[in-house]
Amino acid sequence: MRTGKILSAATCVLLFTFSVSAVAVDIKWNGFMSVIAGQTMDDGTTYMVDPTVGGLNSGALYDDKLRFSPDSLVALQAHANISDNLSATVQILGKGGDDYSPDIEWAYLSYEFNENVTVNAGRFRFPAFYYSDSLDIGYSYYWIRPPVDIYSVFFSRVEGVNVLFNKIVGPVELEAQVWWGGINIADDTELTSTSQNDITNNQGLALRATWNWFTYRTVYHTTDFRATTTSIVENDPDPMNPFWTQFGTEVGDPADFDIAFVGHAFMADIGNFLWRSEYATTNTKFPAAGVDVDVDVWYGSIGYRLHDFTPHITYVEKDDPGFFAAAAKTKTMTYGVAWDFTPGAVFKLEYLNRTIDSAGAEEDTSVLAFGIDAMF
Amino acid sequence: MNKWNLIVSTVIICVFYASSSFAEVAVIVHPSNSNTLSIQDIQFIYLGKKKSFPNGDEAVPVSLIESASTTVEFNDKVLKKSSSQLRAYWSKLVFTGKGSPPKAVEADAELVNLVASNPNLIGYVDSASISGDVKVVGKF
Repeated sequence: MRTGKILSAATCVLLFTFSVSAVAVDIKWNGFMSVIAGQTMDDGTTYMVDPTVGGLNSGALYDDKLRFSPDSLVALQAHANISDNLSATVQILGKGGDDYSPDIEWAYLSYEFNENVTVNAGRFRFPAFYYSDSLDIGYSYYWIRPPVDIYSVFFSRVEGVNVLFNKIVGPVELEAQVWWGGINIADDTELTSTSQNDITNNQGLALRATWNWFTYRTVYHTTDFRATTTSIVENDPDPMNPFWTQFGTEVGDPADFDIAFVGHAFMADIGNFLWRSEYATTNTKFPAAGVDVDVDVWYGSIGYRLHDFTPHITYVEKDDPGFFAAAAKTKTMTYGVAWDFTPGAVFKLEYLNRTIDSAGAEEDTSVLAFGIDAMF
Repeated sequence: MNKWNLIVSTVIICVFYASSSFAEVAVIVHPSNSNTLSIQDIQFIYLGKKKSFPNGDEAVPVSLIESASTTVEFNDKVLKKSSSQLRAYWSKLVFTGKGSPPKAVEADAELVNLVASNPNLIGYVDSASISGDVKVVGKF
């Protein structure tokens, strides 16, 4: 399976290279890489950083041994101009949490109608929250990873169309992005119950205004989500298990959800002070059981640019009234520093402490992580 | 080389180094370009936020390579960003399909020649490198 994936990804890049080279077109190569190590500070504790790579039994989980997989990744991107207004881009990404299995993360054609409007079609990471579409590019933000409580939507890409509008009005820069698409993903970890997940009618609108040092962004995004159970495992360690047994879902049964995401981001760069904050609500409706649940998350973060160093401190709060798992309130503090030791690479060191208050019990987890994010 | 020569050479090198740190950056366009550009206009063009001059003509920015001292001056005085900040800014755009940085050329002379031959280009060079073939829209 893995060899097949590598071969198909490599073939895709080669075909792309050859078919475009045949008309003597320049290909612009870029890439980025993160090499990060980390561990939890207490025996028996774990910390999930990327739920898109197969859940509880994936490599995207820190535990009490020093691990290099969860936040590490590598990506290579090829971009070619087909004509004055049309270009093609493909980005192949391999995540440490997924055994570095190469996957086509982005593959799209881009047509620039005029200086204000661009249309893209193909596979893309949808811009749900502020950092969603650039989440893999560690170099573009000062954390090792943006707060996972917001950035843990279980799917991150769709296949479809998106339109980007840009306009400058005086000193204000305005941007709007609208998208529509869908994707079908198999949740295929072997040790837990699995489902085939069909995401359809995934659509959203994001609006951003930047005025000098201040940026405000808002997004409204809805999707249909159908999970069809493909296997049920006894004594399933996955917190989704109560769902399968509680709602009597059997193999082959489809479960339909309506999910809506709303987000607001306020970002400010005032002199050497950097302010980052977002507020997000995810509403999940499961009509078959009359379930309608809102999960709210917000964070505030301050960074300070001191020559090549950017120390930062972040507070995150999440309120989950419980649906798949018990109701929980989560609070996380992160302290870290990013060091731009050379243009193109940054060394990061980060310590976080998370407290989950659930069913009357308090669970504490601490994670120390460090490493390098680079881009080329 | 005797000790005296060494001292003199070092002083001369230091003087040149010191003076090049205060080099003036000149932003240049084609002589037929009649636009007046504010520092914000230049920022918007170099950061890919605007693709046209105030009069509506297409604007295509050209840079010197990242390691050139004039680039460091330009980034600092005009774009108000360090090399790392600029790289982080472009990384967010390049890998999400929203834009790409200006093309970079190695030498001032090459950049002057490019701007002198294309009415849509805008560039920046050390002000000592400008010739009568280009028009200066700002000095920083």
